[in-house]
Amino acid sequence: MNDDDPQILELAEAISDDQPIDWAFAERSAPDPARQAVIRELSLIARLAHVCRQPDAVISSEPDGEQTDVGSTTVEGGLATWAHLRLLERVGAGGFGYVFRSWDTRLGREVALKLLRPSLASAREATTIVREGGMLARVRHPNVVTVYGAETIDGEVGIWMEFVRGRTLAQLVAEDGVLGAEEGALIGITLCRATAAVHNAGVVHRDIKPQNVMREEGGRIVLMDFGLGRDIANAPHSRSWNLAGTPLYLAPELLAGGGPSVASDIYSLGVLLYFLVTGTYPVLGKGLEEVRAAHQQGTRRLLHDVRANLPPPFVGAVERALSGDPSQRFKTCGAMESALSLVIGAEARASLAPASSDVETRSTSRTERFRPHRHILAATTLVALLVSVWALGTGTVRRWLGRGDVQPPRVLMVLPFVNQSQDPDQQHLTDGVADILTADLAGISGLRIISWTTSLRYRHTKKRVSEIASELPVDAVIEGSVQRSGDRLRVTARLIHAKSDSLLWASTYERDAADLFALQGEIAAAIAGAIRVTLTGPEQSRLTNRHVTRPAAQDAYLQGRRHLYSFNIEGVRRARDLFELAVKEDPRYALAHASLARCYLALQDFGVMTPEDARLRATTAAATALAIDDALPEAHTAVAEVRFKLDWNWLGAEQSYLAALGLNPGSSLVRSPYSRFLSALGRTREALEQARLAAESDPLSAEMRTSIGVILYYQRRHNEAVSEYLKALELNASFSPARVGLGRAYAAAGQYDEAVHQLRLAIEQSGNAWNVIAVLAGIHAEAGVRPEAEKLLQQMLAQAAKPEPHIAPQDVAYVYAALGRLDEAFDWLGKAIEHRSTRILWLKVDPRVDSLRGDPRFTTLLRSLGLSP
Amino acid sequence: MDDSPSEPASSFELLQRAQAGDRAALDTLLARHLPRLRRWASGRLPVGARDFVDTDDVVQETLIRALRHIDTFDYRREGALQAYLRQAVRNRIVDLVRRAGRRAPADELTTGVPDQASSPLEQSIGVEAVERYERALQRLKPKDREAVILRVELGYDYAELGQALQKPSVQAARKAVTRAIARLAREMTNER
Repeated sequence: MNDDDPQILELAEAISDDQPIDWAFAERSAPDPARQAVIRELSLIARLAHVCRQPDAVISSEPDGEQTDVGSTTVEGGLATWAHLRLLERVGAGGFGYVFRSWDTRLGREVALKLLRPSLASAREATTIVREGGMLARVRHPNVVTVYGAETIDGEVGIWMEFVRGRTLAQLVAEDGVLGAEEGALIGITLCRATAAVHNAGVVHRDIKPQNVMREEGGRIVLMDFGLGRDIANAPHSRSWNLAGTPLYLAPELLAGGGPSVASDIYSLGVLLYFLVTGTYPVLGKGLEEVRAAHQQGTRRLLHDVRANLPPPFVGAVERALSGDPSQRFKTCGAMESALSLVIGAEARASLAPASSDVETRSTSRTERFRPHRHILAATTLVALLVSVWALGTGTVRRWLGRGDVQPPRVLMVLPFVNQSQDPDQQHLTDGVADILTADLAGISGLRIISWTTSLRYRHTKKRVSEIASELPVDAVIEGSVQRSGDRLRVTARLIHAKSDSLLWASTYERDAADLFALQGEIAAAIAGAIRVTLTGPEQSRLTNRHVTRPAAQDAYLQGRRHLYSFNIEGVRRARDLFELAVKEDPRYALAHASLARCYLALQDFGVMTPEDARLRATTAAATALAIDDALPEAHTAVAEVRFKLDWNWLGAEQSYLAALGLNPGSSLVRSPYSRFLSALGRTREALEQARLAAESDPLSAEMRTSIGVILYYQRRHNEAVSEYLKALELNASFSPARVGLGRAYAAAGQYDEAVHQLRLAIEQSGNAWNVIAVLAGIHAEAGVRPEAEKLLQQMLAQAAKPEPHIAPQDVAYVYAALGRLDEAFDWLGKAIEHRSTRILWLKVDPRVDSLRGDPRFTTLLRSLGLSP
Repeated sequence: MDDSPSEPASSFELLQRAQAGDRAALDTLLARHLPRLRRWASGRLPVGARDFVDTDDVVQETLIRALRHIDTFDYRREGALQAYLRQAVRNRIVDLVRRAGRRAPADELTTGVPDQASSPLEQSIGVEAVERYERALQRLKPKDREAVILRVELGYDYAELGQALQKPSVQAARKAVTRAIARLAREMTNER
């Protein structure tokens, strides 16, 4: 092979001339591997050339098949520009007019411009269309084409929008064949959400059909081309529009002269889904008149008769959308979405009936209010797992991910679910579902999960999943809703691919409220299956062997969990009461016992519970949790915390932390306390590593950032500590521990004015907490402002003589140390040890006692804490 | 090849005038090179970068800077100038992308999320292939490189190409591109 190799030159010439090449044939006919390799590179160059020549190879708004004026290369009216848009090439034509790939010269971007045939739009209609264009431009939904604007210029109506590459659903069916019910339902769910967004903007779409829905290369489904002008269906030009397409999607009331409505869009959605799974239509006719007549005669072909093997929920949803009487259809797209979401598991379960029969012994015999089909409720974890496997087997997920997207998602986030119960008080239940699902997923070793405290910040977000993904490093997001009706629960969950905003997996579960925890595990396992994560034996058993508790206990537990996240005294007190109630209702409730231990520890930290009392109660609660379920990570963490903070049993504590981490490696709720433990031991490098890992899975948590700041402060990296605290305060300006830390770090760096300023703010934010006042006193002393320091110290001493609120002796000691009164400092540290005060545990690393370190008494103190000097 | 006086001014001439402060000459040069490079850049800029970068601005700024500062003597040949400007825009994009990356440091978590980081071209043929192509392109002789860039990337027709590459005929231009493409493909296999 040399420079004159004729085959290579011929191919190169064809690339240069932009001629089509059969690359597979070319490669096959090459005589040796070396030349094959060159041909493969040539094919890459050809593709590159193609992209460069035609940056938008496959374009939106492809023609509707049969149409007028196709093949004409001249632009009607000889337009080269329209408004501020330069027309680049005509990419579509139809009865409505033309679509041009265009260049927006103002904003410098490519757009699709739809120009309406001048004769179609009367002045009045033109005004309506332009007004509607303005409304559509306000619709912001990942699955609706973004409309940029609409205008009338010299009587011509134009509407310009996002340029979308990909195939239409019509092409998809034509090229790949009809879809399965599950994939159809997934598309249907996405389109229901998209159409709902259009309806919420006060617009009716009017032209929903497979030709108007694109599937982008990345898998995103995009609802396109809105019907322009409500009179189009009855316009005198109706002969010229594509009768093979549009009238088949029109609701009968429109053909009878009625106006478009939400109900008529829902009808069109029904026809679209009917078409996706059959390739044909419920009502046939060769033209507007025939279709109209067919409707009048009621000759609708039932979906079940056209394709018998579809799951009943799918058939039911489509038939309801197709009801001749608009009042019989779904009232909203949301209702249709709910009905379709029942399909996802149902088809799989129906097809898996034999496989699931041996596990049906675990099915419940409780009331069946929501139950559309008996066997749906019979589904157990095993079935849920099989559902995912089945979905993969039929290629749903793979197909959905698209060709360029071979990596299944690995970093997930569970967004707060939507409470669909009538009762707003069920918010705790809704939160609990998502919170526990987060914890369950975090326990799966193949996944990384963004923590629940970070998710909570997105509770009321209107952002697209792709926008969230640009803020957080997530591959996919789980969203869903919870509806409670008496003792019955309906939970829907959807997995959305972050990159494409497309639905990867969805399922609806209906259970007794008491089965909530089992259901959580089931959902977690199903999601893992859907994205091809293999569960280890222990992981699987942890997700499946769930403690079934009484609804009252579960309710109390979930409410308590919500209060615990408040991180303030009142919240933790409330949480403690609720957890106590939960264990009273169900003494075998390990999670509730473990959480109770956490509350006692926190209350002791806050100074509202004496160390003695906290120690007794927390030890009992943690030990009980562990005794009931030794595979529960929360139980091990509780034991670790008790051993560390109350028993000063360093060795035992570390064993328990490691046990908890082994069971739930992804949880920031384990790593973060473990990191604090390590820093107390003086192992600050390891501590920093753990804290950073915790912060990764909890990127928006001020608490995690603060933990990093504290460790840096212990490492005397004060400037870095300052920057971490500032980040924490950016995330949550009212998180007072970060402000206290910031003040301490400023002081340590010699910036006393800034330090005092921060401390004053922190004192206010913390409601005059004594431990914060003590920090200010210490800073005054270090800064040499002794009178201020002495004044605050006297106040603290006066308070220390009173029983409540409790002043931690070490706080007094720190002020004495800063004042250089070392004897008093040692006295008070001694008292702190006597009282087993928790915060003295960081004595070994705390810069505030640096002036005491040379003294032999300091070594004695460390030894009595069980620490080596 | 000589430019006859009736033909539009050569880029070389314009460049000299522009560098001497002739605003109109600079505008003419920009008008000549901007549209193609804008279009080119739109395929090369990572999708995610569009949120913080305006393709037009980037290309325009880069061209103005490059046109003001290059040593005119090295770019007598139209094709060489065009290839140089294309490279300047590419460098600028690489730089912008790197800086954007610095703003939001890549960590273990983000490495699995290439979504917004790749350009339409990379999405179409793959990051690795684009890089192999670029490296091979840089190893070609200047005239081969120019031929590929002008014809394959910037869509010059053969007549324009003949002028830019100083070829005597359209046929000669076509042949030059064909050979350059073949050499490029072979060069690309050298690192596989």
